[in-house]
Amino acid sequence: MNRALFAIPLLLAIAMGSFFFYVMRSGIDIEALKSPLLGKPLPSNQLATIEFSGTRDPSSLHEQGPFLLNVWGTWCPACFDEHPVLNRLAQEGVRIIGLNYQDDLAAAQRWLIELHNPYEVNLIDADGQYGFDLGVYGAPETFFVNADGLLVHRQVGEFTMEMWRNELQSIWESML
Amino acid sequence: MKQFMILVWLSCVAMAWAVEQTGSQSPLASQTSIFEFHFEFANDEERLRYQQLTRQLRCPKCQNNNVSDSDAPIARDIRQRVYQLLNQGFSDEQIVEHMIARYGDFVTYRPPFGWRTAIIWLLPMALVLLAAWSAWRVIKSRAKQQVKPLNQAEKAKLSAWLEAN
Repeated sequence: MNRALFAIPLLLAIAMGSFFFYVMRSGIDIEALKSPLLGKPLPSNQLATIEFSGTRDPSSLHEQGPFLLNVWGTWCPACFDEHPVLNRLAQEGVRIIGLNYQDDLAAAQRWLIELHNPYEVNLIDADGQYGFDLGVYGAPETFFVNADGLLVHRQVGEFTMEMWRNELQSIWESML
Repeated sequence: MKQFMILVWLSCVAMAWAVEQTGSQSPLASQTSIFEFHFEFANDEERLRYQQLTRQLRCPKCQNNNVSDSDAPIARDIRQRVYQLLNQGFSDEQIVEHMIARYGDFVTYRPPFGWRTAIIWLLPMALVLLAAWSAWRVIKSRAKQQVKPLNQAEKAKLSAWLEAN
């Protein structure tokens, strides 16, 4: 029998080992799921706003240009950590829409006064039904929507200024 | 060599079995959830469908739990949506499709067959075929190794040696 066959298990083990090592070291978040909405428009729904400025439909917000839809709640510690980054981005001219997810209205309003409001407008999703249709499974989540209203990228979990500079900013700029 | 091939064969079978297991349902799937007491069902059949669906659906947050076993908020939301859709008369397939449209193929322990999911369906079969092939090689090589009868010269050598000892 061919002696070269002996090498197969060893080569397999080496290949698997280097693959796992690569994934561990690369910082890829293997728990981050790819959104099935990528390349598609956001679900349509009329949502009230925290600012009491009537209702908005997230699927038509792109008519005023590309935007980030940031899903947040006052109950979410990572949202608190992310908030200064959002303030900074809003200052730099990034258009951010908030989706206040499964939250208490009064608490959300207080949060925006105390921590500064980086959002153009905040949509209320108190029962989480809209978030469910978006496939939200852990706040904060940020949806990158281009000028055609199509989802380009979904960021699961908190992002830092460093992550913005390294990776997300180029996605945003490609949408402008 | 023989032992080695048997080892390869066994590990292939074990791997195929393990992939099949994790691909089909969670190890906790047989347990009854403690989180469904607050739902009321029209009949037992509907309750059973609810239980099967929530065991088949996988929690996107606490990965490798099904939504029946998980107490994560998102698992609770998925259970609620399953219950709503059941009451609205959706079929099991429609409910699973509803979840896949929002959370992707990841959300079910029985993902549909497609080019993205081909590996988890085909790999076990490929491993079983590989195992069968290597078993066949082992059997064939054993058949070849049958002992040949000694010729005259060898017989003489053997009896000389036996006498000497």
